[in-house]
Amino acid sequence: MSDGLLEELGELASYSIDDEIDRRMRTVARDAFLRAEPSVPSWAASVAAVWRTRLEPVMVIAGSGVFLGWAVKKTIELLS
Amino acid sequence: MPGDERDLVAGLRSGDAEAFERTYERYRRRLHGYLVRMARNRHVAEDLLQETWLRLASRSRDLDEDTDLGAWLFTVARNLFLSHVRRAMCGVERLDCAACASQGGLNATPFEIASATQTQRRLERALLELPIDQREVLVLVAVERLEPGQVATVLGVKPEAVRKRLERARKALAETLEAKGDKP
Repeated sequence: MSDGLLEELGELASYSIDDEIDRRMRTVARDAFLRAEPSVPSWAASVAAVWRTRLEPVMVIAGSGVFLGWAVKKTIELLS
Repeated sequence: MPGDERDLVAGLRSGDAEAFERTYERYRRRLHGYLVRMARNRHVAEDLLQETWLRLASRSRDLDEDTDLGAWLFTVARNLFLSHVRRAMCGVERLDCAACASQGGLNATPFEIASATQTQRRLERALLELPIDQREVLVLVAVERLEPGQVATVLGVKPEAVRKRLERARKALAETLEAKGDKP
């Protein structure tokens, strides 16, 4: 950076942060960092979404259908 | 990317609290300086800085191994600042915006007044009068001394565009100083 004006800008004083505010900011950020959970990988999120929206309803409906069919068949057998 | 920066990123990805502390210590003054000069209001800058650290806290596990931490943090800070400006323009935070426009929230502390020369104070005032796009490229390149590639990343433009924007901003700053009777 050979420009004199830009070099003068580089020498501008930095703005100070109030110590109390800085301490509070650091504590809040560090606590949030320590609490943060590793995020779920995208492939795992996709699998979970497919399971939740497609596979699980199909399996519940299929399972209920099989049970109802078995129950009806058993009832007919018992009554006949 | 320097080796120690790579170590910091690795530490952040693994949830190492010491890596977070070192990152905080390394970038807190630079980010604060950038945000104060962009927002022209200490309180707004402090809110945006806190939010920047919270973003790092919540996303550090998702950083890529080769993340340029400086560029990442300044990009987050910039995006938060631009969101703040957009909200202010929509009137949601009109009071804050008024404070920004008048630089009313940017009173220098006695220490800052004592430590700055008259030339520096004039330069600071001229810098703060520039439009956001010109001010930010000067702050990133000349004040915070980011690498050209980092500035391009932060601004989301090509290095050539950064060079042109810097030329225009430098010219505007010189003109502002001249208009105030100060030779650049």
